[in-house]
Amino acid sequence: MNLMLKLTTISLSLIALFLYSSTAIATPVSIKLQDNIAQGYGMINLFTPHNTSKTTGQLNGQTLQALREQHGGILAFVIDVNEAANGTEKAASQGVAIADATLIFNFPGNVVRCGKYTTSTASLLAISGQTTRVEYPTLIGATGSNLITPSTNSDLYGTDFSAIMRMKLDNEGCTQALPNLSTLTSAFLEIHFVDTNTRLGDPEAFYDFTNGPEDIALISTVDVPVVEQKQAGIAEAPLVIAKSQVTNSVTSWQYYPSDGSYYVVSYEDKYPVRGDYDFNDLVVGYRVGIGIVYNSTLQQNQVTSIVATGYMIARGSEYTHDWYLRIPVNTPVQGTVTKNLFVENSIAQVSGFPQTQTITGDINIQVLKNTKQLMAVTGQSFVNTLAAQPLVQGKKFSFALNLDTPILLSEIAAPPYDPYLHVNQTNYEIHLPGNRAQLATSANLASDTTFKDTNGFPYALLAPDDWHPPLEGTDLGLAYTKFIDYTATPNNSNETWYLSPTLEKIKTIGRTFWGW
Amino acid sequence: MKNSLMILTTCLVIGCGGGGSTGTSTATASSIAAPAPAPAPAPIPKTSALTDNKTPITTKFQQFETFVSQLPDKTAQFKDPKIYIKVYVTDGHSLYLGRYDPKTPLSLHLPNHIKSIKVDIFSATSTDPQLTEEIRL
Repeated sequence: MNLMLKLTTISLSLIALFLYSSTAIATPVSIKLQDNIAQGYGMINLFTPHNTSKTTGQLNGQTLQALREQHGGILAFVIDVNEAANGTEKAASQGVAIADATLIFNFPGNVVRCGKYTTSTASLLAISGQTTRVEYPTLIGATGSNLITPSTNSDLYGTDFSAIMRMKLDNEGCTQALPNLSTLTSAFLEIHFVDTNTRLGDPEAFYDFTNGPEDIALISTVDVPVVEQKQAGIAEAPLVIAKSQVTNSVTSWQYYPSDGSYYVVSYEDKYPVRGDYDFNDLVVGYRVGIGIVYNSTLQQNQVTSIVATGYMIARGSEYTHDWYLRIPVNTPVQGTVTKNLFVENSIAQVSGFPQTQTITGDINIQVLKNTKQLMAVTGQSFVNTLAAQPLVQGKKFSFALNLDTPILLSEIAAPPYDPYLHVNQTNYEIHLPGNRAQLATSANLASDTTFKDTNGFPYALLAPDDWHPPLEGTDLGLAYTKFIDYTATPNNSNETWYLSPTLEKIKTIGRTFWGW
Repeated sequence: MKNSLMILTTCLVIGCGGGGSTGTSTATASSIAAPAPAPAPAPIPKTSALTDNKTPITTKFQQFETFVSQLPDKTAQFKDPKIYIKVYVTDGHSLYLGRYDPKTPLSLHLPNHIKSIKVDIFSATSTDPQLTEEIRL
């Protein structure tokens, strides 16, 4: 009897242990791993969770086997892409490409390698030293995506993990039939990113790996839909070839003036009084990207998103202003814009940013509010306009507008669009010639369509980013002596007046400095 | 200082005009001996300062020019129906990157000093060509 009782007790204990184990293995959570991918290479130990992981202790073959079964025969990883450095990469969209990835399974007396993998996106890229483009799987992400997973026990909860890589474990993907992983003695993922030819600009510059490192995690099936629904960074990435699960990639990006240069707009802010023509009361650099999808039904290009990036360059005024960028459209739009404002030379945002705003009707976005406060040097009235003043870097801004419903590309006005000032002290708006005041409370609402002074010169001037602002109080025509000839008789010899400054009359502040 | 210069310039111009007019009047007045003709005043050199100049209200201040470019149709050379294009300036900066559609003209807005662009046309199929062309604007 005692023996029977003992056997029964042991049996029940084993059953309980089995059930417990089964339950534990049946619902594995996502686990961040200790090793990461640095400078484009990683040898990731799959048995070592990150020291911040909610999963404590070593992982083992049973853990991997449970995940394999949960995913229906594959292992899936998720990567926190951290590459906001080159090309059009930014916090909201950054990427890398995979050159190769191999799982190395060490069994007692046997090693199996599996090197087949898939991602949701790909791109055509030239590797370093070459110009021929080949398709590579890509990993795209965004900083601040802040995943909310179903379980707070997941290591992905509240993180920026964004790009999933699925490793095939079938006979096709592995050097031999892969046994049950429970008996593994160790397991690794070896991964190389593509060393792209960044000299070509985008898309190569976007998908490079110069920043990093990238954290990597084993992802559970529970978290896969959360990551895939987010599609972090994909909408703003260039040359995205959607492979699966991706719905909001654009087919083309058109950049104005280009993806690596800027319009520089400068203002005389005494309007309607003629100013001193130094065109440095506020100087801002900006560029615009138009995200396009091809509507095969209409057989026309449609715009789904608009992004803009720029910098404050100089401010030579006693006044303060708000700076707007209006993208005129013939069709009213609806959408959501996310505005970012970055601390100087930093990826950190100014307090209160990012900001989200609903757009209805016109695209008229207040990008900078109170320029005097945003760009200030203690004890100085002006910034980057005085000869003896050391240069300082200004704030960076960006915005991304996603339209609820795409509109035809032809419904958007031609660049450079309408970058304008509202001068707080005078309550006047200042636009490039040919535009109208926009704000209902402005003193010159609908009263001035020329924005030129009594001499015929404008209050706002647009130049390429090779242009440097004149020194404080220096007439533009003296800083750039060909300008006046250009206005009188434009020709091949003076149309590039902005490339020939009188050096002692300008504040030399190059794009590489202000466009940090 | 600039205001002073402008006033000085204005006075000189008025003075010269007035002097000439007076001289003409004087020459018709026979009772007064005609003075020796004054040497023609040197023209006041205008500076290149905007303050010293006027420009017609119709003047356009365009440091950028819009180009509507019809892309060359190279689709016949590709087997892959998905063809991509990168339009860029010589420093590699993209003007357009994505789907190749030679039927739709491409609108570019370029600084006056940019006189040519380059175009790469490519696909994901390894047997397809990868074309690079330069287009003079």
